[in-house]
Amino acid sequence: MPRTGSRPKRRSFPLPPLFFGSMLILSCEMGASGGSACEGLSDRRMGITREEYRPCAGEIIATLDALRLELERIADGDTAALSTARSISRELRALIRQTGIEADYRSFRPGVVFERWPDGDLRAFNGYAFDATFQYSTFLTGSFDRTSSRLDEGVKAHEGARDAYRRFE
Amino acid sequence: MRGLATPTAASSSQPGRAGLVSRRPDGPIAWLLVGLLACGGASQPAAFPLGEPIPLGILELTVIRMEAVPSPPPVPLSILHAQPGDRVIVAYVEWDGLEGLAEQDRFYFVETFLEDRLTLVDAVGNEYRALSALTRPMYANSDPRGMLGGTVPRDWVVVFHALEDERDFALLVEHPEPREGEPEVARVELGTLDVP
Repeated sequence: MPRTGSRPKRRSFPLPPLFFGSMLILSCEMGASGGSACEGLSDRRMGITREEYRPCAGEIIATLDALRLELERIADGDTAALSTARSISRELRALIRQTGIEADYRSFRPGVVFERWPDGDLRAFNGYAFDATFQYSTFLTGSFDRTSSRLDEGVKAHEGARDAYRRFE
Repeated sequence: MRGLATPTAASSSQPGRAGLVSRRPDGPIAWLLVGLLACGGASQPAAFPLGEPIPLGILELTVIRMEAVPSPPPVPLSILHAQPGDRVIVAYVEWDGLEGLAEQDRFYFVETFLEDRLTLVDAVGNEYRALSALTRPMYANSDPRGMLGGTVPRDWVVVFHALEDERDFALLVEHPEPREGEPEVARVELGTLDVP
């Protein structure tokens, strides 16, 4: 179904409190991307710096960008883009998993997040990137209707991640 | 600040055991130590005297002293009131490091670390986890917000509730990611509590 309406403008908004249902989508996939800049981060227990995280965050942003391109094609009716989109989505979820963000949130221990990511800009990036990944994955799986609002939510979070990334790029 | 800890099953028969992790030396820190010893090459907790900085990666922590909280406490916080049979003890600490972080992020990190990584141990091996961490100005009731003039104070107090019969204590500081030459667990002997 073609997506109607204008694309959402980039704007800042509070960190999305989204963690429900993420396991349904994100836990389904697990092949790790080999050789990514995010490898090893999930083993870190304390004080990840922006210098250490920058390459991985850049890779996540680039993958979000690539995925968004395919999702917008799908929203415009190009079902041939599904296969490529699914492949990129798997890569993205593997990157997120390699950062350890998913395990942080699953622990429901805020202390874990503050210890591993003491820099607030990195925490903000993680929250938006996690949300964008979830929203894009949900749109792609078609668990719900592939509505423009679902994609728009993903784009909003995606742009939030980009804004946060620029603060430590 | 966090709320009171839930007493463990081992202590449920007695009132007011908030913060008590175990009445025997088999609490989480003890098991951590057993695990460390079982892993070949692991060491006992590293001893640090009062006043000596403990290197903890991006943070450096110095344990200054302990004291029993007077009654009434200096600031009207429920965490500074003990249940019958318990005594409220505070450990004074100072931190350094956390370079390059915004002040608010430093506050979150220090508060979280002190509440999650410090354990009080008495002479018979009972372990008590930290129930709260306050800046010194907060504890002295001179700054309820905890960020004096927008800067995070370097000196804090960490609140424990311990059995009132115990007097000799040590503080264990757990390091989540020790680097070369840094302790996995540091032990600081706090001495004998001076009870008014």
